[in-house]
Amino acid sequence: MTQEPMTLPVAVTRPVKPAVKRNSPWLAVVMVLALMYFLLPLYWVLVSITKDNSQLNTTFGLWFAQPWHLWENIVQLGTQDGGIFYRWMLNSFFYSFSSGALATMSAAMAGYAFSKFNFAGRGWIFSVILGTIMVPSTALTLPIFLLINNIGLANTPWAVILPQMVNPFGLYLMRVFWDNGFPTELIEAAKIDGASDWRIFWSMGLPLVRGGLITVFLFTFVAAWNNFFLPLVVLNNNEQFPLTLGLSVWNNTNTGRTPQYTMIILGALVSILPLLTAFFTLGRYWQGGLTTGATKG
Amino acid sequence: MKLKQGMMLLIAGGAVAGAIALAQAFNEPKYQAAPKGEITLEYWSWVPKMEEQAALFTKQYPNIKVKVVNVGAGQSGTYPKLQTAIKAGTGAPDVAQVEFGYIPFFASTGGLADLTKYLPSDAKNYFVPWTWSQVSQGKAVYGIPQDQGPFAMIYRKDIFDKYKIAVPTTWNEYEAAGKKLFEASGGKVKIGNFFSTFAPWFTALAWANGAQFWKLNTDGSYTQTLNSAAAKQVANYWGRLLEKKYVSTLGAFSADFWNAVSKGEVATSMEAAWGTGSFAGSLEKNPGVGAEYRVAPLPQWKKGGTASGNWGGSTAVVTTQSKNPEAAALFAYWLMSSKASVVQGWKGAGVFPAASAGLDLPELSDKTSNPSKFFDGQNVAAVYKEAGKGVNTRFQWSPWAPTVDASFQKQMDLAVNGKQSFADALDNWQAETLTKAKADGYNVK
Repeated sequence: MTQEPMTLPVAVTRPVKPAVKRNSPWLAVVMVLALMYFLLPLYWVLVSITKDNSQLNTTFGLWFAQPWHLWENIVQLGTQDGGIFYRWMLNSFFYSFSSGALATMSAAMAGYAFSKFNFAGRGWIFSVILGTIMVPSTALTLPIFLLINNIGLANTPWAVILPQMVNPFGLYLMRVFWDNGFPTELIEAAKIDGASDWRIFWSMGLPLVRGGLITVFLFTFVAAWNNFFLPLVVLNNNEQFPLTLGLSVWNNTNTGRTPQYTMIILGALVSILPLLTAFFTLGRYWQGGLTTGATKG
Repeated sequence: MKLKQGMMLLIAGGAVAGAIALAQAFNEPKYQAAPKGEITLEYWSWVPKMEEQAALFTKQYPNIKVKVVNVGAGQSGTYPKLQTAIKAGTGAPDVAQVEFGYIPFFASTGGLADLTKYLPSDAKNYFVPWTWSQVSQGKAVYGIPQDQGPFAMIYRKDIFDKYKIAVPTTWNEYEAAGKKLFEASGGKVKIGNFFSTFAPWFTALAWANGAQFWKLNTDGSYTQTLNSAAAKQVANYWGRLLEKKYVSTLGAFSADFWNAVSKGEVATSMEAAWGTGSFAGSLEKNPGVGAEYRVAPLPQWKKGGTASGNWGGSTAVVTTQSKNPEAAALFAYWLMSSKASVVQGWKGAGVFPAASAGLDLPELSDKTSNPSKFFDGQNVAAVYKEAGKGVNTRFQWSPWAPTVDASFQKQMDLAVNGKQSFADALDNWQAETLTKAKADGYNVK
């Protein structure tokens, strides 16, 4: 085995094939058990969406019951409260996509500045920004709520998007990508050819750190998609809710009438489909993002 | 003869008409005058179809519009949001739904308006007495009661018939019935279920036995007594039944519990008024072979007693941030006490009213719809109406009352598994939560 040179950009590392072929039966058994452990809840979800409330409560949880109520649940999901579910889904898409795109751009630009420009206080400003990763987001909710309220943005989409468009971890990640994926020599060469800073950043740099951009986008998108507390606090209109909030409202609205839980379970399943799709189609960037910090620094 | 029969029919007819008239006479309050000018109120509530109910108010008072926002039930939505807005000093709604048990907490934040100066002085007469004492602190009134969850006993009539056991009216009879069931069924059929993971369930049963967990003293401090003799009597009783295997300890609302009920393995369950809706909603299509569900009053410690406790129930509070507290108070009061609104609350969301007049509404016992339909047409609302009258008015909560559940679960778990006695469990529950309340800065003795 030869050691790979340390300077290889992350985006082009490929997994090295193991030299020894493993076929330990025990390993296979353990892996299958682990797989079942992780897939069982999902399987339960798939079974439950074919039932109605009484079947959910009184039939075996891991097998189907007759008659099926899947279609009924699908129809109800689309019509409950005037079909608001798909409205929530659109909202989630809009908030997550906007937050993701804006966070990616801000992280790419700030990361570029930290990586390529030498300015006074670069080191400690970067440390302070990194330090903010350690502040739990719940601690920031009240100040964010006050800020949003005072500038009159409460109850608008901006209240959800603005706080999520800065992502200190994304900034850190982008700096690593700029450091390793875009050699400073290239910038010097381009400058000699008369290219502006903006053109160097936009036309030459960005395509080279595409992996980093997608990783940051994915991380922010997923975080925004799953965010519950921020929209709960800043939104006052059911029409503007994202899926997390909407489903929670349905699930917890139990007075004297029991909600149709199997329909809500179906809604939860539908709500993770976009994430699953993103994960399966862009999975390799995801992996890259998780290991980037570990090997480069 | 003929004339006599005709007379009888007439009299009978008159009596029926009278009864109908009586049932339909809804004692509605005389409301205060509405403020003038165009007003829009914001109302946070997790009652389904609340928009329709609030629209009825605007129909009556066209200059006051209401924007309803459903941000989810209690701790999983409305409370953290309301708490944030109160802390921030901005962003709170005019009116919000808050459960009885959380009134002291939100009152202690200073975010709730005292409604006494906005309401007519006789407002309390229109609500079930104990619900009004739940929203009062001294002379101040912090909310208008919306609904209630007094306790009664849901039971399987078919099981009692099969084993020829009379429906128990006292806890002694209940234990005897448990023994008989246990012996006759070879241990398969339990008389009931002890919900060891739900402090509010236990609280309701202790409440029915006269226990008072918290007390607000005149100097503003609180006294907590979770381990009184009355509470221990209840805990020891269920502990004994558990030891003798007369009752099970299945998780509340769990599939295991519903399964056991529909299979006829659990003969009774102590349930709040809204529990009838849960039974109907969860078991309607699979009630169990030959199952007949009925509701009877809560078994009593003293023969002939009518005591009950409560689990759940909400209020509408007005926040100090409201710019139109007069309109907000009128809205909250009207919403919870007018006939049109109470009927809509019941039809739209199964809200079991806290307004006294609401309990006599014929809609509550409509045999063609749930919950009455599930109970084979029994007037279950009438049983719960009586239960509501028997709820001790002196029971109070504290600002930290909602936080004592975790400690209860922990201590009860130890008791259920034989690691400590049920009396010790209550002592430890008291000690543990007292320490925590003091650490959180509450003035408690």
